[in-house]
Amino acid sequence: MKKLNFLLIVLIFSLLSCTKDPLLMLIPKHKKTVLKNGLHVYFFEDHKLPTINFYFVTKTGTIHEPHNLKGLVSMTTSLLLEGTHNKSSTELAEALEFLGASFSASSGYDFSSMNASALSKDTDKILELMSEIILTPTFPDKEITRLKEETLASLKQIPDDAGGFASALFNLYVYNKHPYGTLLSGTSETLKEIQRKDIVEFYKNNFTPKNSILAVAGDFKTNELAQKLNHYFEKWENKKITLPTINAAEDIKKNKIYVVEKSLLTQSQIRIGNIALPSGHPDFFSYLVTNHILGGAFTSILNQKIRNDLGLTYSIHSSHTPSLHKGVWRISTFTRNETLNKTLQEIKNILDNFNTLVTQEELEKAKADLLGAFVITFENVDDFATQLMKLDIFNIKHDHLKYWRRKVQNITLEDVRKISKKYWNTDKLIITILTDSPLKEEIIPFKGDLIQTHFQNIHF
Amino acid sequence: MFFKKIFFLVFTLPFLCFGALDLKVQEHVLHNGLRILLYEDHTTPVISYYTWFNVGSAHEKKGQTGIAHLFEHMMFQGTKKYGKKQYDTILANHGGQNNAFTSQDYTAYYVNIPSEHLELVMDLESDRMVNLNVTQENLTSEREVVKEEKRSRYDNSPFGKMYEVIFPLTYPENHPYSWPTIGSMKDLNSLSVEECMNFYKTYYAPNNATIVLVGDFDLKKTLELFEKYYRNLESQNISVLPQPESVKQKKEKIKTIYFTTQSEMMITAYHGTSALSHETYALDVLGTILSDGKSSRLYKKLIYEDQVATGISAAHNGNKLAGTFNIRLIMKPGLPIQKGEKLIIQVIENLKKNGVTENELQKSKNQILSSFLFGLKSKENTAYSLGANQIIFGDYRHFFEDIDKYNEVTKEDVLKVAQKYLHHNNKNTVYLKPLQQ
Repeated sequence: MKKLNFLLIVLIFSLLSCTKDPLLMLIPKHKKTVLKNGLHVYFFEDHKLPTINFYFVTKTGTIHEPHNLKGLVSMTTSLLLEGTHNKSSTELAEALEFLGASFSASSGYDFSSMNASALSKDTDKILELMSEIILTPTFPDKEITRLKEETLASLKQIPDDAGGFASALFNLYVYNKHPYGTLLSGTSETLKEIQRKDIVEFYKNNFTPKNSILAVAGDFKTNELAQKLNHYFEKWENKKITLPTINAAEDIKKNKIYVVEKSLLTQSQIRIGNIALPSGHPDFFSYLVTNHILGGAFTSILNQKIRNDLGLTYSIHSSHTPSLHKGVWRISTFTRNETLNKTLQEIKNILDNFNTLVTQEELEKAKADLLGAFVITFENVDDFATQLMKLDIFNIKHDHLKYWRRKVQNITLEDVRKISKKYWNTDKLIITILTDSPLKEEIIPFKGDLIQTHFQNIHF
Repeated sequence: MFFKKIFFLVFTLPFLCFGALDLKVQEHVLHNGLRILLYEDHTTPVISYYTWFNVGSAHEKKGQTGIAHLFEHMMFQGTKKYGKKQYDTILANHGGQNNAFTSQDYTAYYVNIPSEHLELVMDLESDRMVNLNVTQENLTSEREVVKEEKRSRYDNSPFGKMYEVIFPLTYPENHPYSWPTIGSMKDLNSLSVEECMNFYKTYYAPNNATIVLVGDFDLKKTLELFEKYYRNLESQNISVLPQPESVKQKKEKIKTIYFTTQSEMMITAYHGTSALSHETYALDVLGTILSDGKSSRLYKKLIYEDQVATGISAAHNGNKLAGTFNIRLIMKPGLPIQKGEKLIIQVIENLKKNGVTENELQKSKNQILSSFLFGLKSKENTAYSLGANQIIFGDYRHFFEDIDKYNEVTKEDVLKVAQKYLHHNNKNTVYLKPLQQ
């Protein structure tokens, strides 16, 4: 058995130290090491339940794919589970599921993820399977063909879910030609171009220890597990990765209104938004609170007015998702077709008059809600483990988590009004409406370029 | 009922198999009949507070479908003490997250909040249990919200549309499960303030409720608070819902609907059994063997080998009064539903002829065990589990037996329920076909 001293322990820390500030977030005791192969690992021991979770992230996302091979990351991550040097796809599924374990792999725009869960009594077995999946995938031709067909079918089915369809359309329109605008799964055009050699090459050049982070949470002993990880991932070849440079998404310069027609819908889907902040931006906390007041909570201004007072919808909310190269801010709702105009008008009124509508009371309510929700969100060590990895991916210091509540608490009404003025201009929005028939211009209170099309003209 | 069973088991398994978890649930019943279940978990300074009422859409009268769910919405409209729509605002001001849900058998309300605000939650919840202010104004506004919910979840959703059809197709007209919880647009439009108040007075009473509190609290102090806030609420005469006659179906029933989808889809509901039946354990295992994971029989056949479908699921849904074994299928665009249905029947008939393997049985039990343990990670799940057991079985301790019951399931039990329930004349099918644009 290999010993712990083979490991290079770069950092061991505990943030459980006493503090008198009740707003500081206490990150549970954990360790961080770097394995011999260069893989950074967080260990969060928690013996409450006999379970173990492994969270892998690889710092390559779909934005790093070649333009003509969109879908490559998705194909590559999915295919990890479709065959190894000594197990077929079916045998692999059988082996994992017999343990009651799960292993999932997925792609994101900025990074890719893998997650394995098992009972802690099966730690060795799941480690063996994980190392086989990550180190020796075979990418069989027949699985590539099958997966492509499956993905093409799923792409055709997107319009079946009106809400998902509207969101995909908005993403496409708001990001225009930026890589964030393409679906994670690629398009019917680009999928056809992906060959096995592209997948193998992409895997070798991106799925490496130095380009990845692992966090383990659950019932284990850190020293023992660290030795096991060194053993099972010893042959994972390290390699220096150079990711392509990605430009920031372009801000919206003027309103564009996209109306997509799909007959027999009795409700119209509405998505309104623009390009927002990159991760780590200094305005993050002000923006977070401001958006929470607008539509980030059930008690927000949008929900109070449009759902509770006027009964125009069952759900309305606004969200802000920062990304490495600029995220999006978006209002999402739906309403019956007859009240589309009224709903759009109310949204516009609220955006135009936000700085008058927002009060100290609204601000305090939003802050209290955010502060409470933050505590509730971090219920398990798993929540901390995954959050720390994400901070690493987004190049944000861990103090972000520690001081999160304090920074929210410090936001003032003046900060909120500045954000609204700076980022929410009703002349610089992308407005996407999915409805049952073409719309006359007077139905839409926002002024700007109106582009109408039938859903069958849209091909993902 | 697999979903609920998962939650029942989560408490026992660690206790029995690993000996590490000591779940001491405290049960108290106030003189007015209010049942309180308490489980302390001090890992984080948070509580989960569930209030369950023994009323769901099965308790609705003809012409009032949807009232149980609409009333769930009305519970957020305010009382004399806490005015119009103050409930959400007050909780938000204290960092609380809340929501509610209605099923055929029950309605539940929950709050997750930093533990220092426990008394506030008790004040709000005890107040709205008996002092709700239902006005024409807030009914009119909330009715529109519920109708939008129906349009979103049913009228504009392929599976929602199918669910609206499968209930009346599966159950006879007088059966309390023969309509969906959302109700009909016609009934929603006609519900009055008076009907809402009658519903409230009939079912929202302490002796028809169970409160589950899980998290970081002091037991002694908490019991005093329960006495303070709930002891003066008056109990009501609650009539027990009569057990409907079991459905005797002689012939398969089919309905086809059309919608603007790209794919053909299908829901099949075989008559199954109530959650209270012992057979539900074998039916849950059967569902797992058929469609849980990529190595399950239906996934392997329809998605992996023959590659005709993009989605397949099979599970027994056992409620208090009855249950169905449901199969959902989504075909690849352009392929006829009959092609997938034929393959499903092949898989089922093969299982009914040759049974399941020892390996499949053990795998299913391992998958269920794993789900239970991972479900235990959250206080909210824990509170949900205790309440669901209490409401469905009349005793939260029911779950202590469940692990043994799953472990006792044999290959023969699985074969027996498959042969008994998954036969042609016992099924009801709704097909959804694309409408040409």
